[in-house]
Amino acid sequence: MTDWLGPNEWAAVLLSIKVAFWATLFSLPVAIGVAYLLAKKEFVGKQLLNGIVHLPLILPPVVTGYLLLMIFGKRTAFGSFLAEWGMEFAFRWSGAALAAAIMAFPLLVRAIRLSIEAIDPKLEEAAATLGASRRWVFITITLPLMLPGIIAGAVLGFAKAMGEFGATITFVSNIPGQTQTLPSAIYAFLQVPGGESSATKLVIISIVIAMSALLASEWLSRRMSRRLQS
Amino acid sequence: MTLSVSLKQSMQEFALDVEFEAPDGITVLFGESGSGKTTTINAIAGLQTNCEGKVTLTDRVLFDSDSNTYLKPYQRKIGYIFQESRLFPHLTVEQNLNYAKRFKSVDKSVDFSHIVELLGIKHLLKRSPDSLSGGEKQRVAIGRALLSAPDLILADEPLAALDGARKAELLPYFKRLNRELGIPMLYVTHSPEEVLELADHVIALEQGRIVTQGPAREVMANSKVARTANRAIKSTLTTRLIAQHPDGLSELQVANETLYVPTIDAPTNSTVCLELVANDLILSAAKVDGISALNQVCGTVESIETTSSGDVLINVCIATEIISTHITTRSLNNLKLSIGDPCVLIIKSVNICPSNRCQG
Repeated sequence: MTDWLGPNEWAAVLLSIKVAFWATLFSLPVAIGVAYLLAKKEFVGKQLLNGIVHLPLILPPVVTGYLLLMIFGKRTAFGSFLAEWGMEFAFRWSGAALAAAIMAFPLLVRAIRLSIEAIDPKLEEAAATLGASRRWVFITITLPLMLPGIIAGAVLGFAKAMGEFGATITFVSNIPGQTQTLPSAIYAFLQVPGGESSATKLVIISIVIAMSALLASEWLSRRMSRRLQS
Repeated sequence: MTLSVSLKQSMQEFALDVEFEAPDGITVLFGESGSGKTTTINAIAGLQTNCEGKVTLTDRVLFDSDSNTYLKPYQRKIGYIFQESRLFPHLTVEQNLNYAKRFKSVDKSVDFSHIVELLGIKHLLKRSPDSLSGGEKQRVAIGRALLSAPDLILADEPLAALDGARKAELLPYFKRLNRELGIPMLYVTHSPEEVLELADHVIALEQGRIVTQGPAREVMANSKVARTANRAIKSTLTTRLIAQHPDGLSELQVANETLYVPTIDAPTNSTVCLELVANDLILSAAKVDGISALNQVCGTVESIETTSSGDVLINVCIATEIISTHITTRSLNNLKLSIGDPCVLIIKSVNICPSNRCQG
């Protein structure tokens, strides 16, 4: 495998997986919280929150990347404040993960919100009459019942994070071995003469990863919903 | 243990104003749908919060709008048996039963094996709720509520979703539970049979107000309550759809009899279940000419019962199904019908509505 792929190509694949993994891991709990708020609560500014969540889906990714640069860039107040605490994002792999997390976020929220809305609130009422406080109702009833949605959302978000290009390249550039993810590597190979064969290999790897993620999520959520059918 | 309830709620189309005490034993809240039964018990359980008034359980205040006391449902120690059982689909029967045990406010001394035995659900413990029949689900739901060690049990039409045979099978459990465990129960129903079978004390509701209350026999004999009760006597008839007619009627068949009903949206040859209200049916000794009713169905008298209000209920056998019709004693005397006699049920088409209660 390492012979088939050059070191730069191999690095891009591993980096992409790492970026997508951390992006999904960190956006998942936030997405569950936001999806719960949007599905269950009425509050002032709900539509605004909904809009902001969906913004990365509609904005050109370049715009999202540039906004990230404006907020987290080293020369901005917020960026330098974070840098003092050892958290630097611009032109780092962690920045790629941040960009991917933000781009994947709406997909996660949508999938999870749908699964929450599909839960019969009568089951939650029943749990309350059995002695479960609101927190326990969430942990023992709501969360397990929304698991198929969480899995579907996480896989979708992971795939989106793997493929994220526009915001990533704008925010963290395209530095081989550091911020060069799969799509940026494919893009880079296509810019140089004779890079097509490397690009093709990466394209095949992209397809394989995306397909297996999709199949795995289908299998998992089908298994889950079979268990949950009532 | 005494439950004392005083509730007021006024909405645009509905006003609730009830005040009652439920002593030990089984207290039945009886009334038609829309009479405020479910609103009342939901307010007692804390699932509905837009009421005013006060609910106390012996000396424990569950809710008092004057002092702004409002216990959350999980703090009330009230077991609730719902009409649709509401078992948790991601847990096994055993996990459903043990659900309440994980909470520290719940008394763990309730004997699991005793309850499981009482309800006859030992063989179901490892199963998942979706593999159970309606009656089994409801027995598990009863067990789950009991194992939360409640001070009071609320039951909201727990048998309404079951067919006749399952109902009869489940009714004795409620009686036995109350006798053996001594937990007071507030039981909501619109079925007069359940009232007579279960109730130690009945509270009859109509349009959000208490009509009368007292021992079951007394309350059910009250003419105002009897009217409500009689409206609730319904039978079902399984038929087959033969044809759709352009004048807005569907043609149905049961055995050799033909019925015409307002158009039912179902394919030809499909099974259609009809619901017939005992009060809407006319009984005749022979077929009658020149009347508006489109349906005259022949059957035989299966049995004759006297109702709590002194009228009679004639159960007529059509094909293999029993249809109840409610008539006065004078009509019965005029018709001179006795068990086994042929008779004709006259049914107005517009009084027939499709139902989803038929079984098999």
